[in-house]
Amino acid sequence: MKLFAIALSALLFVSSALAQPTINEIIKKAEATFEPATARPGETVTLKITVQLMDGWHTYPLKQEDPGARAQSNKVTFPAPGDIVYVGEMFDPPGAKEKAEPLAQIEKMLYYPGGATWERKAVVLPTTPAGTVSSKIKFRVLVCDKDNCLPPKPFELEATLKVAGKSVAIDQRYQAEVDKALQK
Amino acid sequence: MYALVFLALLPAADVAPPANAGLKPVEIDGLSWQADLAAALAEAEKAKALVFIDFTGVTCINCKINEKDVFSKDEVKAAFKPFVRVQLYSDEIPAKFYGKAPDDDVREDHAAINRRFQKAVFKTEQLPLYAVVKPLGDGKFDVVGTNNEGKINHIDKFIEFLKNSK
Repeated sequence: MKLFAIALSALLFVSSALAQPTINEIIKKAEATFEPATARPGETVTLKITVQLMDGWHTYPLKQEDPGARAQSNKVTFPAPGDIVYVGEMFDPPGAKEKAEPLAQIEKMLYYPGGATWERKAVVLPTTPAGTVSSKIKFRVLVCDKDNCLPPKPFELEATLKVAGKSVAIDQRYQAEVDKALQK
Repeated sequence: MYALVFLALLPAADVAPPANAGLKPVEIDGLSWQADLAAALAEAEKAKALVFIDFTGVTCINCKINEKDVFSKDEVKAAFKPFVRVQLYSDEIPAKFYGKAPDDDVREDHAAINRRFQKAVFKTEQLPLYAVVKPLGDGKFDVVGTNNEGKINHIDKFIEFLKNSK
């Protein structure tokens, strides 16, 4: 009986020692949306990619300023132009925290405790018929807490947009970029 | 939370070790590190030694800190010496382990083999994770112990973990 109790205690210790939250528990939300959710053909909308994390975990920007921290980055890949053409850059949101990691030769590592929302402009082509269009964006999320990291998790996020109404002219700021994207 | 786990009473792991043929050992701080667990087990079997596994990642900042700041210390290197050492990258295998490095995608695919192995045997993808295994022949092994402290804050305990892994 005593032996059984010792074995059970050891098993419980092993289970608890190795019990770590899974990546699906840590990343509470990863989603892509368009704002506004309804647009006219030719209009510019904003893609928003939101990552929300469990308390105590953080993620990273798309671009680290310090080359030494380059590996601590998320990665986004946009689809080829279709009814939706992405324009401008996807910038990292403001509000990143900074940390030096001298032991890893990093002077300034940027990170987002709890997650962040990234944005990029997108133009709905004037020729897009009324209905629902969708766009699949690949987003690779890296998460760490103070002691551990997990291998980057790739997501394919689908954002949908309702297209309705009369076509409007493309915003002049993005016309050249749209033309260039469609020539490729 | 700091934890040492010794699993010597568990049955031999029934998962084939990852074999990434073509990976070559590299020398880090005067110690040789394999990147292929199957090769490391074979080497350890010949030498009647245990294998120390460093589950690591190029994107894992705490792994880098441990490897640069802790593994390079003389007392830790001395404790590593009796082991055959292997670094299993689970996100992307660095180019330095290849004679002629393939593209990033291929190196990520090779690392995915390590990631699946870690999850199958140790039930976690946590990085870093350290384990000691004993070769049993034919690629089989026993898990002797694991250390899941993550960033090593207690070097003395880490050395104790290595020394107690028999």
